[in-house]
Amino acid sequence: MWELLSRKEIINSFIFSSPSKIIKCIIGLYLDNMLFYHIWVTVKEIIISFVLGSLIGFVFAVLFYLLPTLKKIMDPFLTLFNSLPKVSLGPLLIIWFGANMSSIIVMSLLINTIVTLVSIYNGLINTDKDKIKLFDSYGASVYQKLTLLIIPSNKEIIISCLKLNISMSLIGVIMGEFLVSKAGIGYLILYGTQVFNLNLVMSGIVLIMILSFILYEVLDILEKKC
Amino acid sequence: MTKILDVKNISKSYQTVLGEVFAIKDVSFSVSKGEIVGIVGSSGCGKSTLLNIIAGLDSATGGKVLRDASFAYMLQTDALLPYLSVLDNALLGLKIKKMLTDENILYTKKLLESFGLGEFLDKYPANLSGGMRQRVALVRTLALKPDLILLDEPLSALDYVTRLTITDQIWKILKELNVTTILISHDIAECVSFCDRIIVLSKRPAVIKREVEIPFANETIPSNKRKRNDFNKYHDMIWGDLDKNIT
Repeated sequence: MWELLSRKEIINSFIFSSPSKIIKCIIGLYLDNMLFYHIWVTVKEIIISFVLGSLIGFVFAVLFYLLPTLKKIMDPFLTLFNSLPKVSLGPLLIIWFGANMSSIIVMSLLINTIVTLVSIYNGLINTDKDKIKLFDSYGASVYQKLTLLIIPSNKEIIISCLKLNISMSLIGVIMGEFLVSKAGIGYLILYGTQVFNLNLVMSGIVLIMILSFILYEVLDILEKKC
Repeated sequence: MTKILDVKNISKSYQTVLGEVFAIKDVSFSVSKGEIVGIVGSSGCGKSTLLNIIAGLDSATGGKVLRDASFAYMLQTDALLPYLSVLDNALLGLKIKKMLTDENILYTKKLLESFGLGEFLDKYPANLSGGMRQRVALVRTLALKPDLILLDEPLSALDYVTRLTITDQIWKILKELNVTTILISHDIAECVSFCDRIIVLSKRPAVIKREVEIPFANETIPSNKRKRNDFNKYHDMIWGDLDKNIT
């Protein structure tokens, strides 16, 4: 339908592009050896921020679970930070971390860590109280409670949180690339907008959708295997 | 008989805006080796709190518990871990206490077999009926070879027929192994048929209203005891205490 409307010039193909133009643009990027280069830059940033965000979020969720006083102290700061539009920190990140990949990853971490922390923490506090009581009656250590009960009991929550985190990492990385980048899918979109090459912008969006789908599916397969 | 547990003047109170409110007040009793003691009381009277204090999972505000025995706790729910097999669930306590020896594993397998679960070692809790799950929970408790078992309404989630059948099985095993047991229950008939002695608690603040020795306790299995003519005498005696207490 989109292709048809564009070919019949019912919609302006310069502004709205068309599927065939997007495919041509992607093939063009491939022939210039630029397609996988830009995809790899974005994927690398996503993987780094996903792994770091998941680890930091998980560790803090466990800490808050084990130390309720720490959670109470940090609660107002978390609420404030959670409600803050992270993109407003962009200029500061560039000054603090430089106009490089570090700023992009930190931007992504600001978005994905808090989501991971809150989701996993909510799972942990809902661990069956009777089972905790049983472990206490056996004199279980904190490590035993975590590895034998709390983490395995919340496996589904942790995996669904990782699935959410991969989307958050993608959003954070693209936002970061809009702010400061020399390569990546976000850079392609920004560059396309600057030179008014909307085929390139649309191609970037399509690539993000494909990438998001693949990353989600990978975690879906992982979930089924667990 | 050797005293295995001595509960001395235990009190538990909470501070409220109205002042100190007692949940348990000055409760004292002792339990000898091999004895099965029931604690009966109306809902919310503080039975489970008392058991938690005995187990060391809660602290008393007054009195002391002298417990010269290892113990194992069985809860109202089976608390089986759904991601572990029947055998692994039964071995959980041993694993946590780092007592997972070949001898103990063999003992646990034998216990599972004696409870009719021999064919289900590799199955998961989701594949078991409520009664079977509760039996696995009991094996998990017995596998630790404790001197004292604390049962907190362990069968309350089961249907009546399953309850009666499992009560017989559990009683036989406990008597066979000569394990000292404290059973918390709100079911008077279950207590009279299962226990050697019954402690009746009042409503909050819980104090001991009566201690009843069951003279026919060791004669036969619980379901047969229920058929005795004098069974109702003890049932009604305790019911009377609870009934008066409520009105």
